[in-house]
Amino acid sequence: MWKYLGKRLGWTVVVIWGVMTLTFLIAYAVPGDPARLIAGPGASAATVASIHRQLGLDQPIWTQYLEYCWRLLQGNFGISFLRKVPVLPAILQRAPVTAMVAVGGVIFELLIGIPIGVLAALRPGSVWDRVATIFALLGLSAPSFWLGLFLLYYLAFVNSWFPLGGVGSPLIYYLVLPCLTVGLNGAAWYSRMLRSTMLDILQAPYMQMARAKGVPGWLLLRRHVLPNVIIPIITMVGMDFGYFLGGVLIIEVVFGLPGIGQQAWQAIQVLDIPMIMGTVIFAAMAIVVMNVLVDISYVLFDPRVRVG
Amino acid sequence: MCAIEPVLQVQGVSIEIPTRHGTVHAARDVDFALGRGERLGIVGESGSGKTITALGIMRLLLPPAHVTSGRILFEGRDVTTMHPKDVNRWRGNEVGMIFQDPLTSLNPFLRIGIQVAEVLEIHRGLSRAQAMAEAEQLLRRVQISDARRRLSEYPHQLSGGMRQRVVIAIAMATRPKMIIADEPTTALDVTAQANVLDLLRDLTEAERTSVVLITHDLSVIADFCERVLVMYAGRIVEEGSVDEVISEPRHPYTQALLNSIPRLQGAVGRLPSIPGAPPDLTRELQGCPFAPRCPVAYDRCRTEVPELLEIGPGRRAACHLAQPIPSNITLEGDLAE
Ligand SMILES: Nc1ncnc2c1ncn2[C@@H]1O[C@H](COP(=O)(O)OP(=O)(O)OP(=O)(O)O)[C@@H](O)[C@H]1O
Ligand code: SF4
Ligand SMILES: [Mg+2]
Repeated sequence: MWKYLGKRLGWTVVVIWGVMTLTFLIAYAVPGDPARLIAGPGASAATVASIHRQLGLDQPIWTQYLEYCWRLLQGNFGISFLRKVPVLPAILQRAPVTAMVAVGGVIFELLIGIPIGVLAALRPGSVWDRVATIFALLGLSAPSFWLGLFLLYYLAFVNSWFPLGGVGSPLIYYLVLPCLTVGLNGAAWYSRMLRSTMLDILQAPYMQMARAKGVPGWLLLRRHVLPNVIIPIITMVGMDFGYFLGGVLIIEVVFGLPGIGQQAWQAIQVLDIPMIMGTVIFAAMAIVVMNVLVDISYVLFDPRVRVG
Repeated sequence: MCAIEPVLQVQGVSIEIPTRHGTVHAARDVDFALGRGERLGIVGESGSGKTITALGIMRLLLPPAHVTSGRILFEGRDVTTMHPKDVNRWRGNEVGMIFQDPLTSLNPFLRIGIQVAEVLEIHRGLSRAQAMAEAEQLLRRVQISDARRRLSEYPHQLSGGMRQRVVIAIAMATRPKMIIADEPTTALDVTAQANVLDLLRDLTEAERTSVVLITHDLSVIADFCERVLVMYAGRIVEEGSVDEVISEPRHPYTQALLNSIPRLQGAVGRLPSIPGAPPDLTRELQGCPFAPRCPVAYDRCRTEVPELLEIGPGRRAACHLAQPIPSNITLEGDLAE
């Protein structure tokens, strides 16, 4: 167990280093000069050059890379080009909003996705199953910005049940629509995954055996099916949560939420390399950490991993 | 040897599975009876409809597979029309089933104890503690060492042979009147095979449980059963006592099955291979389904479906060449003319 965790941790470092390097290369490969973007359109060549020097952009790229790595090892994510504040505190300060959207989104995914998937699997081919399929198709194909705008229009603009965006008090009131948008998209996935997992289980030989034992329907579901569905659900929740934590970019932009994603969105527009790098590394870490947590949860929920 | 007091009567049961490529006639007009305490074997190549028939009897067919005609009487009650609630009270209580693959027939997420105790809780209304105590006894009866510890283990911690014995313990837990064992030893190694069969024999003999044993291994049938049904393409093609069928097969398919076994002793002959392939089950029958592979087929075989006819006491065969053994009376009548 410990050996395994140690190995996982080693891989985590490698993965994050890889992501960091790749982002670094991409950020520098992108045409555009952050100094010019910062200085503004009318700035003189001398101003741009001085900004270059200030930001260390006049150094060769590998020097910049090594310097970045060195600072990162010390936990220093650098200073934002745009806002001139340390990157890490800026990210952490915005993390709570993103985290709340992530949690709320996952909750909606589960609340909507699980019942739809389970019911569809229990009556495959039924009218209900078809309705669930249509729901899934819509949910999977609707782009989240479109879905977000759609909800905003009908539930906030036309009906004023919810605020039009931004944050305020009580916060939850402002988070319902963003979370619902995230949740609806995700629920489509969950319902499909649950349907196919449940169908697999329902057709498994051990289910046939359980039915041959005369286990009544409700007990069959509760004892023989649902526990076996928990693992794929946990896996998906873990992945999603990690992914959302890195910033639900489009949702935050659509709903004007001051989260990590919105901040990254602004950073991208002005090539604020330290902020972009910081956000990407933060997101990669969130995903990797959730992965490890999911793996640990297997040990708790899957007897085949737990013992022997 | 027709049973005086049949536990199970399967009367003209047909099972169909609608698929994209047509309707599979997986069982056609299957008809047989099982006496109390009798051990009946069902043998046939892969795909001959053995499992489907067993599942049909147990009401375990998953849609779209379904019984299209016939009756299945268990102690006189028709299983095919039983209310689902009553089916659940009957299954696992009055009948037990043992499946082919012990590795997959136990739930990997549940401890052995609960999987055994469950049937006792459901059918005998025992409390968890009582059921667990009895589960431990049951595991002892199926010769599982360290029974108490095994209760809290998971299936993957047990060997294949042990898991099959757990499955037998579950099937026998409520002292059912009948057990259907679908290739209970196919997935096991040779030693475990012999052990499991011996155990099954001992337990069912002690309880006078009727057994339907499904296999494609005639040597298992010879070893375990009293009577045998031979299935081909979803139909019973021959029936008789094991001794008679083996020493004097009346259907060319049975003969081919016997020929494909090197020698009928020991646990060798498995997976008989007969030249040719079984027919497409989505087609309607036109003549004898075995005709394309039958060495003695003649004109009539290709146009007329041979009925399963009584050809002697307790013997039936579905072949135009299997002549009914003339009884004394007709013989005398013939002589008198
Ligand atoms: N779910 C299904 N869909 C379509 N066809 C099926 C299905 N289940 C079984 N069949 C067909 O029904 C026929 C009978 O199958 P069955 O499983 O009863 O054979 P079997 O005699 O038990 O063979 P085996 O020795 O391989 O277990 C086969 O031709 C099989 O292809
Ligand atoms: S009916 Fe004809 S084809 Fe069929 S088994 Fe008998 S002889 Fe062979
Ligand atoms: Mg089978």
